[in-house]
Amino acid sequence: MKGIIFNLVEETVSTEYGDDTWDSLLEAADVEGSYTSLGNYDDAEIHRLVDAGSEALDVPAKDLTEWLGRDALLRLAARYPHFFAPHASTRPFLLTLNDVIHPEVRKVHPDSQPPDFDFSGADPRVLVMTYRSARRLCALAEGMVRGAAEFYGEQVAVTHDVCMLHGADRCELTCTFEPTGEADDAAGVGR
Amino acid sequence: MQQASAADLTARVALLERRLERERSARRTAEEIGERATSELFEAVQNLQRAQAEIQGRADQARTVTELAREVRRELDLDGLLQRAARGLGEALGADSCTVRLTAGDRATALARWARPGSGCDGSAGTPLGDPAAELAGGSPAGRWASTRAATPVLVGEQLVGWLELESSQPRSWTERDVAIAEGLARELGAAVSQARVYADQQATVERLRELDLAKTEFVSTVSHELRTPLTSITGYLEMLLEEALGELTPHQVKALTVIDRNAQRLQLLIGDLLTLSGVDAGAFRLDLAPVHLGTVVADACAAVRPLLERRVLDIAVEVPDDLGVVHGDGTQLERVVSNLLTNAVKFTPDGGRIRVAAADDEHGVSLSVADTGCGIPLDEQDRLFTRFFRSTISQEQEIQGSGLGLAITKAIVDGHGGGVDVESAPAAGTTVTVRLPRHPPAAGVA
Repeated sequence: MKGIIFNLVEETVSTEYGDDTWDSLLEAADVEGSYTSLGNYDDAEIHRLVDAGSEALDVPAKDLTEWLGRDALLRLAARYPHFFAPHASTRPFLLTLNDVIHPEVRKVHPDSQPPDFDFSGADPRVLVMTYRSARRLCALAEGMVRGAAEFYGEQVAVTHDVCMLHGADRCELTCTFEPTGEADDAAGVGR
Repeated sequence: MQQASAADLTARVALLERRLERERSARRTAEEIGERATSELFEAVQNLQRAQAEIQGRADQARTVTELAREVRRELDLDGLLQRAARGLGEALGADSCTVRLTAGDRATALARWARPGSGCDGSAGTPLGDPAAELAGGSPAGRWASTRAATPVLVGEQLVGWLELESSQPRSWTERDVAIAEGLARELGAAVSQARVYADQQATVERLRELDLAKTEFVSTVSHELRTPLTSITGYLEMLLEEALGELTPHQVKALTVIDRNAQRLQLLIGDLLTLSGVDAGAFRLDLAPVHLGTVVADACAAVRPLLERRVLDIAVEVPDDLGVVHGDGTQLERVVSNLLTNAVKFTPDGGRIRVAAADDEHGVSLSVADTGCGIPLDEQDRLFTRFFRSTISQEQEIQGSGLGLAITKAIVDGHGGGVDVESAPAAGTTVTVRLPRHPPAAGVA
């Protein structure tokens, strides 16, 4: 897992709950926590951190992960606006993941392994994203989809019936978008 | 409160220290990664530069070989191209001498040698390598590269046809570039040698054909002359016999002698045609120029072909204006032209047909045409009409007699006058042959 994800998580947790909480999460998760965006870290560390956070904050691990994803996406949008600016809505932005964004990530971080998504859905309002990754961080991906919708001012309904966390060999995220000016209402921790 | 604050402060400091330690550790990791990336980048750039230099080196080699090959191929003569190869390669590689030796099979050994002036290798043919493959060990599998001598084989296909040999008065190390250029030129040289040999063979073939053609022309000329002499004697006595100068003839004898006379005249015409064409081939065909009235020429030609018209039913019209301009030409040869055309028209026009002879002034001189309503010439044969001994399929099918020389001679005579001949013909509709003559023939080819 690339260090930048850990940096984003640290920022989110520290901003929302303070440095102390982050410090205690590191201790509870028994990780060193010296993350640099250039580094590559054991995938297990993110799971240990989520588990520690889930216990400390009393939030289900999946909800916490999704919230971290949504927040990370908004932070990425602030840090890398040029990936977001060319698109007017979430669907076309998500469709550039495999062809533009992840190849760019590989350029800067040759040892990174961003997931590849399969996309389908003929209806322009619907996008079915198939996620396959040994990290099984589908909730992070789902949170990022929600974060992207929030960024573009859209409302999104995500159904996640096929899931690796429930024994499937892949996750299928069916995202249905509705443009709205009140997208903020749909955001937040949990569902 | 103070104790609590002190405890808070201690905790705060501890937290900050942990954060600081994490930040330091992260920085060290980032620096290590940065250093590693920089080193990898440096190596990548160096690899790229090496690759670029190699590509440029190869391009330079290819360009050098191409230039040398172009220089070599300018020469079609084998010795000349070997000389160019020796000089070109020797200079390109900075050698003191370069020798090209062809040794293949039944071909004679060819040798070309270049030596750098002042190198001490000039003047003599050096000490050639008997068998470079045996005498020089080492080097690439194809060539032999020792410190002062080097050689690379010249191949035509799979066959070894010779060696490119290089010499250096001082020991030197031949670079990969040297080897690549020498081997590249050796390959090109193999192809150039083949090409030069094919060219030489072709030249020899052309020369042999020329000699054969000349021998044939001389043969025809000699035979024709030899035939003409006895024929003159035969026709002389025939004339005397027919004039009954040697005694009275019975009607049967007259008939037989007339047949003999007719065929003797045909032989005479044929021999005359052959001699004319021999003269044209030998460049000895001369025109006897004088002012000529084409009206007279046409009338004489008509008179000459009159015997052919006996027992034929043909409508012959002659349309030559009285005030037709005079041309400078050979009257006898022009009469031959007109009578050839008229003879053809008579032969190829069935009874009941029409023949029209017309002449008129035109902007360049005079044009004269002979038009018939005969059987015409098949389209696919029209481009061979002026070829000697060419006989159309119609003349063969209808057994129309002729040597196939008439139009060839007509064209030779008209060409000699600086004029031209056009034929328009359509099968079953007839043929029109038009001769255009300038008023004054050009100086060349005129006596």
